[in-house]
Amino acid sequence: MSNVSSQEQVSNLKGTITFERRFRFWKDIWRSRALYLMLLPGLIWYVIYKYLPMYGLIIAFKDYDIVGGLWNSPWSDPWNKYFLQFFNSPYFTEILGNTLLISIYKLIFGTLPPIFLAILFNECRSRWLKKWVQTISYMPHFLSWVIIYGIVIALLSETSGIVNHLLVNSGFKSIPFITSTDWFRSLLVGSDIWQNIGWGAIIYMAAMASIDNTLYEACRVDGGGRLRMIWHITLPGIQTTIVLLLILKIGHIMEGSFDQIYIMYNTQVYKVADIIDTWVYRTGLQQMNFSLASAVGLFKSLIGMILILIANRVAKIWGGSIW
Amino acid sequence: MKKQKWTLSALVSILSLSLVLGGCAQNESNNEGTPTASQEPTKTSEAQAAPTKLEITKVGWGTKLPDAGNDFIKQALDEKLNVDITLTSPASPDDFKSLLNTRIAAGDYPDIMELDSRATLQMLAEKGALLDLTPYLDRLGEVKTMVGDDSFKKGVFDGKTYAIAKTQALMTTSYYIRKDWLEKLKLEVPTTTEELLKVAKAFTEEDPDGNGKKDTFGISGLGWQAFAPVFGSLGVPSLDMATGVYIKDGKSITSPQDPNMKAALAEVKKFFDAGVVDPEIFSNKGTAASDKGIKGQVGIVFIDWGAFIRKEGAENVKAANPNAEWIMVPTIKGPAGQIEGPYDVGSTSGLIALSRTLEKDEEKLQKIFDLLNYVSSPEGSQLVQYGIKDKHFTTEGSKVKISELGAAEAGYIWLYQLTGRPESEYLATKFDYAAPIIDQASKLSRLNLYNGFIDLPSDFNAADAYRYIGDLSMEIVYGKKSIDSFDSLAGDLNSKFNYQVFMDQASKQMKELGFIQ
Repeated sequence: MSNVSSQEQVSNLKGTITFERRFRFWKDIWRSRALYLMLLPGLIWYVIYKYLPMYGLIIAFKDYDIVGGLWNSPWSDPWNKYFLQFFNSPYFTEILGNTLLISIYKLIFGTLPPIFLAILFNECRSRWLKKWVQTISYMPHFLSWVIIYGIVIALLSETSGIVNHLLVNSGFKSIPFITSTDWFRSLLVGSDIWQNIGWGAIIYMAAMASIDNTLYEACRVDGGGRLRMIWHITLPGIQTTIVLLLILKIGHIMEGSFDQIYIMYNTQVYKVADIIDTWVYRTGLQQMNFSLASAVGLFKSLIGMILILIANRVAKIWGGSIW
Repeated sequence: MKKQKWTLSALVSILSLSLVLGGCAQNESNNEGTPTASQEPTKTSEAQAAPTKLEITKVGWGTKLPDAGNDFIKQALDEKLNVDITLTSPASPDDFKSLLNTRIAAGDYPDIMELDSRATLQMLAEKGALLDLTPYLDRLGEVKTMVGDDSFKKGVFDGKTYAIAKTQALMTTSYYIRKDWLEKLKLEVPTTTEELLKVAKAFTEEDPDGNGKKDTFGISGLGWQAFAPVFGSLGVPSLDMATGVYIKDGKSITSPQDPNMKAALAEVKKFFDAGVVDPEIFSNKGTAASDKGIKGQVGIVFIDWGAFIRKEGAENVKAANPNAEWIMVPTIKGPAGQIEGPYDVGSTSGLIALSRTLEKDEEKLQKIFDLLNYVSSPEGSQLVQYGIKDKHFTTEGSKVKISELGAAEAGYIWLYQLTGRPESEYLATKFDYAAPIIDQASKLSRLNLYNGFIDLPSDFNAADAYRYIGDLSMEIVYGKKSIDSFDSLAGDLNSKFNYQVFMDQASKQMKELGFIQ
């Protein structure tokens, strides 16, 4: 009897607690109603433009035709027909490998230069020099790949590029940067770093600006030099930003960068440069095979999501995870 | 104070909310295109005198259309036919496709569509997006006179005529060679593959530009096309048409099956072995090959007549080197005779198709036929080729003379050449200084391919097969694989790429269209 009543008491108590909690939850919301109201449009935007369009993913499982549209197109038979078409392409492993390799190279070689540049800017005492160099270094971010390819040709072409002219004139052999499978990936990674170094540095500089100045003062009082300050204050100060950007980049590993590669590649370097997106473009979109294109897109997103989850787990170890 | 903050934030969120939802509402109205498209014509037909609205969509290749007030062709056509023409011209075929796809997905069809290829036609016809023109063909008399019977055949799909092909562009590509270099090295214009190789070698090694440096190459062009006459001398299409379909001994054959292909590739390999080929031949894009010719880096280029002969090109050549002179090389001879290169007779410079929604709008349909017939008639054709008579051009007998104003203002008007133009006549008028060379180039004998008539089977991945053929052939000419590895090509295509399906489809359609027995 007493047992029962105590149980009742406990459940009553639990009820009150959950009720209290719920009440407090709504109360909290009501208290910051202005903030939540401002959040609302953002949420609605996400639902309408990011979540609702996801129903279009069913194209990947349908024999999509334009007139039938999403609903009236027949289901593909078997359901994974377009996934199989992708996996069974004789070039599947090669393009998957290329996509990952190019992205990973960009991640490895592309992460440090902007950090380095940002530190240089941070240490630069001449204001006007800093401003000028900064502006010039982020300009390429706004150039389209067509223009950058033009610059690359002017510099590196085997027949008319400046670099090869210099090489040949000083007695060396010319190097086929653009048509050689040995050089092409370096070209992709190099031009990508060149394009984004200044832009990337801006974010790190913003992070550096938020570091408490008293830390530097304390370090100076303790007799720390510039390098010490960079190592012990600046770098730890932007650590979370570095990790955050890294996680975001890892999510895009399967994306490659279609614009860049589509404009720069040629039949001779397919072996090292053909990525998932360029393949989809040639087989899917040019032959209007939308179902194949979205099946591959879904496959890429899934892998991307798994990679983000893993990266976030790993980042937690350094205390820099997103969530 | 606190209250003010609250109203402010409410205001902010309401504003942004309306932005979000506003964007959404606009989207929705776009999606509801179907009903508006079918309602529109009834609205216009109510008002008798009101001009009929016609919308035309085609690839514009970046040509800038003037606004309606300055578009004298639109004004002339509108006035003549009592219509109101809207021309949409996305810059590239890809832009065009995405525009067309979104419009069609939304059910909002343009009235007249110029499709870029048979593949697009096939897809749209299969989905029932296009009007079957078969019952209307006899109302397109002027068009038929202009484009010819064969052009009506190119738009046939499943036994029905869904489109009419425009007149075809002239094929004028051929070898051009530096005459001054030949003279300097005391060489003759090459007439066989061996002589071509000899000249290319001399151009590479004997310093034809006399600057004391070994900085020139023999041959350039855009990829495999640069060797089209060499392939042609053995009766096969160059490898840029990786799966060319043609007729050999009365049967349809695709190029990987042809035993001569290997022999031709071996000939081409000699040029690569000798080191006389532009090292960037496979990465040349756009005008890269002719630019190298203009700069004096290469002495033989496979290119269309415009590159060095057209005024702009010729001026560039002279500006780079006043002594430079380019001449056309007559087709080289080989075991299979003289063939300058492959020519896809099924290809078109555009297929004119009409929207299915016009089926029930007889009045609008008539206006469209009027328009198509008019731009195909002698009078209308002159209008869309040269502009307004006595303003942009004058006539002396049957000869047209373009005025200065015409040369300055009429750059865009080709967009209105809906059914094409009498090509050689047009070029001879527009480029009278180059008339003989255009005539000669267009009359070179070419190998007829029929790929434009063949619909790609869906279980054959053409892009992968093209790549396989290209990769293997490149490895062979660059010496990474032996020429004998080409023997396994046909078998590999069958086992890895389902090639048999394509060959079957090719011979089936070739029979259906009556090209082979």
